[in-house]
Amino acid sequence: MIEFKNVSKAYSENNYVLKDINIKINDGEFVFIVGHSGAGKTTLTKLLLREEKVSDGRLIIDNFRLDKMRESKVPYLRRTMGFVFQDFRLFPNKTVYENVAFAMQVIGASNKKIKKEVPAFIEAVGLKDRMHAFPAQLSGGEKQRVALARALANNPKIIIADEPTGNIDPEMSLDIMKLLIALNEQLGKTIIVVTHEKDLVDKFQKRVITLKNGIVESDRTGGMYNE
Amino acid sequence: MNRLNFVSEGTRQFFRGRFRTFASIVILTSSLLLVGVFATLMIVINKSVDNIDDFNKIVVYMKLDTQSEQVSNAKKQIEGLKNVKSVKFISKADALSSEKVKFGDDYAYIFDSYDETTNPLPDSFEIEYVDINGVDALVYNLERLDADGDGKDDGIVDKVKNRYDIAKNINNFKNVISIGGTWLMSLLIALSVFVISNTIRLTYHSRELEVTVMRYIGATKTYITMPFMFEGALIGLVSGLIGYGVQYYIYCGPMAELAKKLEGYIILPAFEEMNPLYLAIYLGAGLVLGIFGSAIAIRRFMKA
Repeated sequence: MIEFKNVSKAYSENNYVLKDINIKINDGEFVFIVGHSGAGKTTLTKLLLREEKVSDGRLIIDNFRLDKMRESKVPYLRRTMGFVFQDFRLFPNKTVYENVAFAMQVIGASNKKIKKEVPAFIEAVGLKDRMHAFPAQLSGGEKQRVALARALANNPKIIIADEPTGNIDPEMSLDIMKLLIALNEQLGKTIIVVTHEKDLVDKFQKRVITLKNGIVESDRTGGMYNE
Repeated sequence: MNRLNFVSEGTRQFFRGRFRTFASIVILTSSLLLVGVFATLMIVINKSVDNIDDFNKIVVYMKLDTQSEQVSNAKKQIEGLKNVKSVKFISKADALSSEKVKFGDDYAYIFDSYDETTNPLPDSFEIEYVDINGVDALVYNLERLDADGDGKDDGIVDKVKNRYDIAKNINNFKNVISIGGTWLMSLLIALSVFVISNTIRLTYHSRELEVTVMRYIGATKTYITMPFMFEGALIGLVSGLIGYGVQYYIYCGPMAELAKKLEGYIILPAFEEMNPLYLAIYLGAGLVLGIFGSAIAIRRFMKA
């Protein structure tokens, strides 16, 4: 469960990027966070990852109080989440397999576990045949699938995707969204998609939280992108 | 992931760095070498100073007409003076034989014409003192020996010769070397830390993507920083070993040659005698500087 209670974030005094945010996201929910540039989407994501600290209010993710969290605990919070970047952030000199395995290596998984589980994650995102390809040999959609497989690698409860379709064509975008929905429905992952792509948001009729000038303008289940 | 991953990752970074690794090693080796050279210089000076004959001795020459009774009284009085460690009496006859020996067989004939009555050399005392700082006072008292105890200068002392000036000069020389060396070493050490820290910073930038992804995945600070620290440590250790090798070459080559030429003036301890000291200086200092440089470089990048 993710809970923002009167959360505000200011980078300098009285210059609030987010103001009095109250959001509750239950386990297994699928949520779009939308809004124009400067609405506060990126800051909200940074707060979730504890890349930034909240200025006021309480932010809770499961057993973690992010507003009071010590630096040394941050890695353990992040292990409960998978993150997908708009620009994929894959290692160009590593194969698909190695890119995914990297996530498990980092948190100390055994080689045996890595060998057993990595192919399964790659298969889950539909790239079984591209296991030994390098990122340069993949399309944008495929790269994002690898990033998704990497995000899944440590079995996180929550997946945060920051503009996951920003760098890929519309057809591929649809595939990625379907994959995210499948992960939500079949594996029960909590999915948070930060996007400004109206068509995609409107198509899936999920919960949509709209940010505008740092405040929650609307929060609708089965909602549409607010213009 | 095995716990020793940082070793392989740090080693890979070390070799991947090529020019920057090389530059760091050159600078750090030079600094360490300088530390080694100064340490050697201090050791050699100390050893050589200990070996200089009569270095901490004062020689009192009595006037030629001094009576033997006055000489024996003078000895007693000298023994009672403050700061005197030992007194050795050298008679006129002993002085003459000693000179004959110094001149060797070829020139011994020069002294043949001298006998007990014509011996031009005076009786003398060799005095060893305790504290160099009390030499002035001791010399003052020796110049005014009062052998008959009447409270007046007897005028029996011709000359008081001491090596105080040499001692002082050597002391000054040691001070200059140690102060100058400390400054120079500090400067080079700071430069080494700066270069290593830049090397590690460049490594960090070349791995920025990896570090970013690691942070988002949940890698601990230790996991992320260890390869950088290890790379710094490796640069330090390699520099230490090279420095040690160069020092060995200098010590056993040119320096040993020089010591041979200046035999009697310079005492060069056997390299083996200083081995543990050198290894400790080179490897220890290299390691500490390498790790310190790395820590400075990555500290500001390590925000959670």
